Amino acid sequence: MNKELSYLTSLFGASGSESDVRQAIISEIRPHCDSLEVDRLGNIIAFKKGIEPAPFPVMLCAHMDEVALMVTSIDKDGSLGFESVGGIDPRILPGTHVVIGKKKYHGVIGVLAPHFVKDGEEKVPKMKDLYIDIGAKDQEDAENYVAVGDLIGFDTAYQEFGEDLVRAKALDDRAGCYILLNIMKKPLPFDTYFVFSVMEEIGCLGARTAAFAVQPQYALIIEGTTAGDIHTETDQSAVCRLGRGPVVSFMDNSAIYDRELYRLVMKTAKEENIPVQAKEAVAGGNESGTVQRALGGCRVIALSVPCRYIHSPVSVANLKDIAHCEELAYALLKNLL
Amino acid sequence: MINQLKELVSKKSVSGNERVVASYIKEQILPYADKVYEDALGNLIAVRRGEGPKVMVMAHMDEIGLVATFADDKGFIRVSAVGGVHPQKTAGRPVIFENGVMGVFVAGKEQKMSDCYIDIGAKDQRDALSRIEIGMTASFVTETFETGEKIVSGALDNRIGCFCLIEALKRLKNCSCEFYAVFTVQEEVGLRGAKVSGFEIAPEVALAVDVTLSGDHPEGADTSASLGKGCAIKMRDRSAICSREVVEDLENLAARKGIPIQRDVLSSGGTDIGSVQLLGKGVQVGGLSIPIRYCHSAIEMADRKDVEATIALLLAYLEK
Repeated sequence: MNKELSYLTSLFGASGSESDVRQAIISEIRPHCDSLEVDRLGNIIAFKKGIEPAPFPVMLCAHMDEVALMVTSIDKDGSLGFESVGGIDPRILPGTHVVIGKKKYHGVIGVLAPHFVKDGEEKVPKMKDLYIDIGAKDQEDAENYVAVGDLIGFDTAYQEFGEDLVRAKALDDRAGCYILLNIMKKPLPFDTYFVFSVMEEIGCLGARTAAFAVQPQYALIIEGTTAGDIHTETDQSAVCRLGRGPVVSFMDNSAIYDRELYRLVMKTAKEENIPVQAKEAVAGGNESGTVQRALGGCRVIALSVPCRYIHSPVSVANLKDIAHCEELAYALLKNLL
Repeated sequence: MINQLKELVSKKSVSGNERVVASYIKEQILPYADKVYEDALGNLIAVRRGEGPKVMVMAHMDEIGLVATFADDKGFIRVSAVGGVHPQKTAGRPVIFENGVMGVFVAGKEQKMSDCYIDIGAKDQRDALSRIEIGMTASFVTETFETGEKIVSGALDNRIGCFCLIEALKRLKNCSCEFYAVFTVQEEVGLRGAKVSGFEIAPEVALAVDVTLSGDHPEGADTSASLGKGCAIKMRDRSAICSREVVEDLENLAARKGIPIQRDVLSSGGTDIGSVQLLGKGVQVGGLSIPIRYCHSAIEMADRKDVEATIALLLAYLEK
């Protein structure tokens, strides 16, 4: 079992509350970096010297936060109302096991049983119609355990299955954090900044201040991206496929990627014999846009790990893709300057 | 005018892939600038030194187009729009990929972008992918010609603005300001290039030279801008409300020099000034617009008189 990835995905880090993830990453990377700073928003900005000094700042970035929920009300009967922190589709929520607050009280997202749904009524409720059952007797009892504003995380155990596959929560983007950690442990061709950013899922906020601090000229974003390669109508709707290597984007909703870097990634993959796939859609977005257009602008490229069921309680990825993503990112660094 | 415009339009420049037109413009303007450079996103910047405030004038180099996302079993290329592509305006047009491969842009019955594809006459997926790569951009093939007083071409949005800015650099004699002529990238996908260039330059005043929609033809836009009535001074668009001071400066100059002008009030669309106005401590913004018909089609139409008026007014502003 991949213990490190298992540990990283087991940690809970909703956008704005990434401290557990941050602490884990800091203790892991401290011996490997030359300087380390946590900025006011909570980004980790670590610097590691390379064999050569870099002529200008180069930044690798992966975000620490994950999508989550937050308690918004406690009802008379002790059930909890909630909202999402980041993009969560209410369709995937009913019946989900969750943990609430720092003490991780258990709850389950309840929904009207099918027996009670009248003909013509929506079978998939809106988020405001869902509730969490924490087994409390009433409001007063519930208030002993939880408060409005408490964060709610998915209670999903890491598990490897099938051939090289893994299912876990928060693979977006702990897989990216894991890749950055591993690259940091290797000898680097030149000085490099490593950013573990906060609040990506609510609008790439951390990347903005981190880019301001680092002022990179080249940035490589490591992400998780959505794969629709199973049970889909057409080949086209797959976007990318598990097992075919890291995904490189030419354009998404956040950015048009630097064309020379795009070609360099493809060329590097070919030379090093690392599988790679183009993202076959213009969809989604990540911190690339924010970093690309911070200050006077920088050249940016994103490498992503294909993940099924992204932003849900459990996503599925391929461990070989993760390894190949790390290999490709490292090879790219060597070819960058 | 028509010959240089032909050259400008023939260099394909879909957003994010402006290199070819940028290097052409660079060649044109090198003798007329004190310094020419490009930034990380590909914005092309020419500086003319002068005493006075820092004035940034932008014209975007990019054009709308398509990008290949997928080749299906039968070899048809599925695409996404880069910028505001409307299938009803462009379906049936020939297109050319950046490597020269040609094809036809085909829209489905409902003319939804998701049903559109490019037919490059490929046998199957393998054949298609041997000729083009996923991620390659394609532009609409166009003709550039004159009819009466009018110029007709694809990508007038915004090579016509680039043309005005190049001409201003060439004709400018006594520059009364620190003049930054910026040929921007990625305007059509959200005014992106201007943002980083504006940050780096930090001007006091920024002007956009861009096209605007005209309302002077059947099913035209709901605007007063008309072809042939002069340079349209921007009052507002969806991205910014122009600084009164800049508008008045431009109107007074036009009156003094006898340059024909009209006003440009656009309730849709934006220009590069939208992402520059709020940078740093703030920037005064304005726009010199050239009205065009059939905007974002493969055949747009402008009037030469408006182009000349725009160049004249821009020069008057820089020399004031």
